[in-house]
Amino acid sequence: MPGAAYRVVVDEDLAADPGEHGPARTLDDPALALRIARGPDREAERELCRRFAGRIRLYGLRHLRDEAAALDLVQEILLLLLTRLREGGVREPDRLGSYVLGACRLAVSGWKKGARRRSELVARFGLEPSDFAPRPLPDVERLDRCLEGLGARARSVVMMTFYAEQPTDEIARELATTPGNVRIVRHRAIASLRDCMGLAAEEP
Amino acid sequence: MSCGTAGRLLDYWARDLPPEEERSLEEHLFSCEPCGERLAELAALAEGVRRLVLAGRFRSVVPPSIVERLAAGGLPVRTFRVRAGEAVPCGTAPGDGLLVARLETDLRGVSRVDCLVCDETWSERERVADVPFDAAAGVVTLAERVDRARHFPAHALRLRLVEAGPGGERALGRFELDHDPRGPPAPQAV
Repeated sequence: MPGAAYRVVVDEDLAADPGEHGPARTLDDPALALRIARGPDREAERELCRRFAGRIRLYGLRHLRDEAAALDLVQEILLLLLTRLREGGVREPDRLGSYVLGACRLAVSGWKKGARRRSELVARFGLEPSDFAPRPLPDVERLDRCLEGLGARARSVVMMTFYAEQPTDEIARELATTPGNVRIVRHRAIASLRDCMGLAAEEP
Repeated sequence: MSCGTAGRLLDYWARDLPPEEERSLEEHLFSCEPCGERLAELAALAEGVRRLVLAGRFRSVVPPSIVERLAAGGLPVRTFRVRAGEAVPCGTAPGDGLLVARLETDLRGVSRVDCLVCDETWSERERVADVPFDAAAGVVTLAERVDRARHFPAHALRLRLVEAGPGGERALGRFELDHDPRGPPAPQAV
């Protein structure tokens, strides 16, 4: 009902708004919020995310001027929104848009403060961004050739460790060997890669 | 704590240290620049490997889980199933990210598999020793990078799987993939 103050209490609102039982995409924002507050509802949550993700991203782009940061903002705000809805912590579901905008403003303001602090540090101590930038990647073409030079099993261990990020025990199970053997193979493989890449030898 | 050995730094980066040892090493890393440098070098190497795999830039017999993960992450993987004794047409299409041959044969009780690349008489030309395999599913998964496959001429790739052991070799199966540079065969109507 327009102008009515909703409380997230299930039974009363069920009687007041039978429309919330339709497909999620047909519901307005307050009805979606209500469904999510009632309990796990993947369809409603997905629809809510779909509706707000674009708006949050645009806000992020406008204020942060960075696609990656804007997408981070989308994740952060949507996760916050869903958590609060499930906890019944959004007191005015009919003003969901304002709630999301407020959360975006707070997040972006915090990030910008952090960025300003970092800039001040750089200016005050004469640091350059390169002073704490990540190390550049190795010559990927050369690494490509070096990786090919490994045996099949060693290559698999390296791929499972650094791409799939599988624990040693899991790698051992999958390759029908022992964790100790996986470690030995991995150490030897990295030593071989380092040697092939022309990096300084390390004591084992 | 003294400086970490290369092995210890690798175990740390691979999340393979016991929690207390990890905490202790991390404290050391924040007070030892040389160790920090060594770790940064290792981390860069690891990231390079990760990016190559993500891009499908590898040619290898791999555990099936690697291919599954890449496919789930959105890399377009084109798979050809080849049962022992079969010859299967294959090729690559625009948009493919990785080519995979699933070599299927009975691998129960097998302890080690070697993959032999053969000539037209099925004689061994090249051996890939001790390859990963899924004994339960009876599958050896061979991945081929698309950036190279696109330039292959028409040819037949003949592979033999053997169980290699102290007592000799036991044949596990022969597999043939007939590459057509014009592209993969059209899907069969169901």
